[in-house]
Amino acid sequence: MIIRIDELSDVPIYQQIRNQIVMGISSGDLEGGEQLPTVRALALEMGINTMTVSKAYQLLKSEGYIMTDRKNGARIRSNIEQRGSMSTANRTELKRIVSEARLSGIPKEEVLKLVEEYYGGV
Amino acid sequence: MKMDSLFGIVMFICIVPVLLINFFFLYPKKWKERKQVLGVNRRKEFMEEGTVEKVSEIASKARSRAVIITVACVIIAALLMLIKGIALQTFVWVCFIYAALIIDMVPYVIGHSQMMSLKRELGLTKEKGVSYVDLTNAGKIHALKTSSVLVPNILGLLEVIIVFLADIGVFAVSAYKPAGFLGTFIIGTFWLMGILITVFGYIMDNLKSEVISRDSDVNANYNRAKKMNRANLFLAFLWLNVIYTVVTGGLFLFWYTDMSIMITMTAYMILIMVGTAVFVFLDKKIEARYHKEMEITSDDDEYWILGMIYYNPNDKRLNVEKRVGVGGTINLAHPAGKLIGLILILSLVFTMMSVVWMGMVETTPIKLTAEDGKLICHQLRDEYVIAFDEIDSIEYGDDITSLRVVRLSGVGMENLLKGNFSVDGINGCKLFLNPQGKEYIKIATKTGTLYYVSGSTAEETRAAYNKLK
Repeated sequence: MIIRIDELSDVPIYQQIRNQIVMGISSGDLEGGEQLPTVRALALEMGINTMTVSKAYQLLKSEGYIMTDRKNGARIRSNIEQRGSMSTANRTELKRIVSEARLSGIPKEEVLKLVEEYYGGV
Repeated sequence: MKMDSLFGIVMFICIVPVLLINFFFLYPKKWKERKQVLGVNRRKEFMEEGTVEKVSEIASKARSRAVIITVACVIIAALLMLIKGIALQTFVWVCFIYAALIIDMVPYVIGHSQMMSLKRELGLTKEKGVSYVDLTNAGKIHALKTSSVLVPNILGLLEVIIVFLADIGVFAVSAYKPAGFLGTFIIGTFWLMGILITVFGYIMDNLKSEVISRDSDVNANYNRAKKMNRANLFLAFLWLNVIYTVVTGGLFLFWYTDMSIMITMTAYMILIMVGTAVFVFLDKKIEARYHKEMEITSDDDEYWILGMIYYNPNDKRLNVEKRVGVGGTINLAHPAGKLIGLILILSLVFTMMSVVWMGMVETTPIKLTAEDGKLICHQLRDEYVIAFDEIDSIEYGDDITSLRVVRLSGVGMENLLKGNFSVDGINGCKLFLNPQGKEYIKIATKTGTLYYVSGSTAEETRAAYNKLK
């Protein structure tokens, strides 16, 4: 799975890593039980501080997407807890995206098609 | 054959392959098969109609200019072999090497600037600051195995131990006359070079894996092939270094002559060049094999000053893969990178200064005077002063060549021997001689120090000896 990091983006790098790993899990690029690189290896590959990668992993762990232990490092959780509800932050984000799409003149069907595509993990 | 002629040949043998390797690396004919064009990442937009012709024109112009410069440098290098005098030759060669390597880069720098303008013209700046990492392969691709580097390093160490044992007299070899720990020092230095090669090999093996495709398997295979080629180069250098260490150690013990050492060194340098040429050939082959699968290009061109010096304050890595050439380079924006850069500049300045100093040492005649109850040997900033009442015995010699002289520290030139030497197996002798004058004075002081001194001419030596008598 390829991660794209934009160092000039307003989104912090740890958030970019976290977001892309979540998208990778959702799309099936990252499977349950799959090993993630060590904090040091990923930091070295990206040319960023180990603390940044560590922060991303901690966030993913606290959200229940990955599990970490000393022996095996970080792995994707096989059974990700399905809460069945969307967080307030995500609702707000979705609202913003839909609003921007409407203001840009994108038809509702087009937005729904995209949602269906991403939801289906295609 | 004289030392300066041999030196000229060795330098020619070394510089010509470097120029050719540089040429093939910097100015590839098939730029479409390379990852970068004149230090700018090759992008798919460069292959589009209307642009491909412009890129081809820039690349071929740079190549034509480089052909002229390379041929001119080879001709000049051939002429430099005719220069007489080791110090003058060293000075000219050092200046030439610096100049040739800089001039060789001029078409590259011009081409790089044209490519950057073209990139801006095409509006290819959206991806600035974007980098890619393959999560599946991160930190997993390595080619250098500990077991493969262990054996040559152990063999080298064994050779150091053998020469050390010979130096401390645990066993004696008829052809080997220990001179302090000079043998151990020289062989030890070569062994340490092997250690350095190993460390550098590991650094290179741990460099970031490149992302060229969305397919992780393609990335893995590409990086494995590149790292394997690099690891093989380091292993070849390591074994070559060990073989050279063993052969030189053997020569020290059984068949030491200046010529045998020079021949071994020349063979060593030639093999290094051959190894590098094979590496370049295979590297180009890998690039050609994968060029069609290169679909991802990071836009980090802005961080490569003149397309070759890496300066990226956002990158925390110190080592990155070179954009042109073999191996890695440093990130000059990293604090340690700045320090290394400064050391590098200082070492270049120091090299030039020491070459100038060497020239002064070779061309300034030594002076031997006996006055006011003292024998004074003087040259530049060095001076030996021996008071007459300190002298225990003196002896006049008329054939310096009969002495078995080994330099421990100081200067050893065709027309000057100055510093601490081992003479006929006696360590710690102080020499201040012009060996071309043939005649010398051997002085033993009451403190037990042995001096071998002479003036710049036989007359000067004789005059000082007469006063001493």
